[in-house]
Amino acid sequence: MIIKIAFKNIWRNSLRSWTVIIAISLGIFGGLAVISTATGLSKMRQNNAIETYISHIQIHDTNFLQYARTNDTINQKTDILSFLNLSQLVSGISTRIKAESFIQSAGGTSGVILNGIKPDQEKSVTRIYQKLEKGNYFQDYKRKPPIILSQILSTKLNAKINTTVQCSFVNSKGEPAVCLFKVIDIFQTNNSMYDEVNAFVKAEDLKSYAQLSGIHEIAIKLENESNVESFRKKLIENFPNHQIDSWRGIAPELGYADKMMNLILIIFLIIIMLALAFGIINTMLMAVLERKKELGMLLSIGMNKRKVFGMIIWESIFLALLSGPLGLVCSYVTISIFAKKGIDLSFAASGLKSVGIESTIYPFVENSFYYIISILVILTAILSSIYPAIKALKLNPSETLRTAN
Amino acid sequence: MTYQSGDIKVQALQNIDLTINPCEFTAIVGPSGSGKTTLLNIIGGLDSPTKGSVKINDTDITQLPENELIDFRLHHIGFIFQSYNLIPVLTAKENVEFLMLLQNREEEFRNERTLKLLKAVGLEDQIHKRPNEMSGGQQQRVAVARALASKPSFILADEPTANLDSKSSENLLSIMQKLNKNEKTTFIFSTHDQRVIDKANRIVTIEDGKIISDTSQ
Repeated sequence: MIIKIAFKNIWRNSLRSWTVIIAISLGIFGGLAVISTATGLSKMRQNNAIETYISHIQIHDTNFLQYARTNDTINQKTDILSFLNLSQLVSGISTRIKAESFIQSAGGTSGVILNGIKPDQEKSVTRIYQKLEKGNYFQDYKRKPPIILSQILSTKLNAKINTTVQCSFVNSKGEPAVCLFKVIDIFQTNNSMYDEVNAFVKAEDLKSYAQLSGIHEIAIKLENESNVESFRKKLIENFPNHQIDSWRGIAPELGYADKMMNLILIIFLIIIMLALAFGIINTMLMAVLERKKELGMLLSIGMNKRKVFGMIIWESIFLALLSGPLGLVCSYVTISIFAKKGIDLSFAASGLKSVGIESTIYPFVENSFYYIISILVILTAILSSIYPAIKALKLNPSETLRTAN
Repeated sequence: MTYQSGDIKVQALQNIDLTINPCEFTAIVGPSGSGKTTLLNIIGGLDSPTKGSVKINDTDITQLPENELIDFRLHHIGFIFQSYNLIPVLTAKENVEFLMLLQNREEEFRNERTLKLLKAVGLEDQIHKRPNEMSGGQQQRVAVARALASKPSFILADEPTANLDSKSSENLLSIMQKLNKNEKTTFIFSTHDQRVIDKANRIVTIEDGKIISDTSQ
């Protein structure tokens, strides 16, 4: 009966109840819309970075990342590759040779990292081959060794397709090496900072210019991103004398962005719950003050304080139970639609590209987040109804009846 | 007994010594501000006296802690208010049943007693109506049935006919008299209404917080 009265009490002032229900629903919807967009943005940036150039895990010689010397190659290359080839978790492996180089054309000069790759291997790890102007991923070239430059570098050097560029770097013997490459294609990723300092050549060409027998980097892509940390640990156990990093270690800014996003989610959750709490406190306080006489009567005729308290709490729970699902369903439907269609931000494409983000954002929220919000909405409703309920308990029955009569 | 009204302490009742016997139909009369409502509140445990005691069936209710006092009211005292004070979201049947639910009575008992009481107050055809669908007289009759539902030792009614027209007042009084006889329920009510006073078998008159006469008729 208490629950029945509580439910019926909500509809005494249906306009006010609906206003609160819609306000709470909109709060949940707005919060989830912002959270999903921000999460989608962060995930996209992260996935772009992983799939375009970082991969999930990279292995180097312990000195290579610090000193970037040409002869700091991976010494257990064969063992590591056999181990990786046997693992079911791995979906792609790419071995790379790297050289910090000075690049020069008739039109200009710049610093660049030459990435010596095996195209077929690299395709299994990164998507640079999809980002080419002509689609020539080292298939079509003649005498001169081929090089693929980024759009930014090409513009900077004024080096178009079929022009020749000269690269100079230090070989494995510590001597300067100078080599000529022919630009066969131009790539453009969503990260202009990466594009500015990277170029691709064939591993065999760079190997011969650098007089190198080993490799500098093994990039690994896993079937499932959730296995990254456990697989990395396994690699460290097996190959302790190597530098083995996950994408978080290689590009810490992405990890920080991820952490920052989690922090933003918590802040938004707190804002949503505070809005909900104030909405409920306000509504329930008004309800208690308007019903002083009735609450006084209930206490007079023998309804104990525990039951009066329970009735007020139930009223708040019902408000939350009506507004929570409404907000969650609206959010779920909207987010699902935009998760497929995407949110077009092409008007800000160039700015987004400079930080590695595409112009279409796909909102994303973990399903568990909906459950968490449902529980938090109910908990907040219960907590925020405590104050109005205590107010109700402090009513003096004879006082309220005397005033009312 | 004194109570605070702003900064002023008001002495509402003085030296009240009153015994109400079972099955009495007692009217507490007196001019406005004489202390009738305060006396009823003290008997009902809604207010506590600054001095003295209120004994109901050998229990001094002034000594009971708040929760026990609420429970005592639930089982021993029925209330009828001037402005009916029914629960607006419940039907007549649910309003009458409410106290029995608080007493954890079984469903069969509740249904039977609810229908019996609503029949006794002449509202057996109004059981599914809400207070706002009933007249003032009908609402007050539901309030009478509700007060009796918990099988209280006595019923306190604070000016029960004050908001009713003469016909409804007459009707309500005859119902209360009938219940007083049939259910052997003690009624104590405050009133100014001479027609109500005429029906009482004991009249306690108070003025300035003191009992000035106590007569039986």
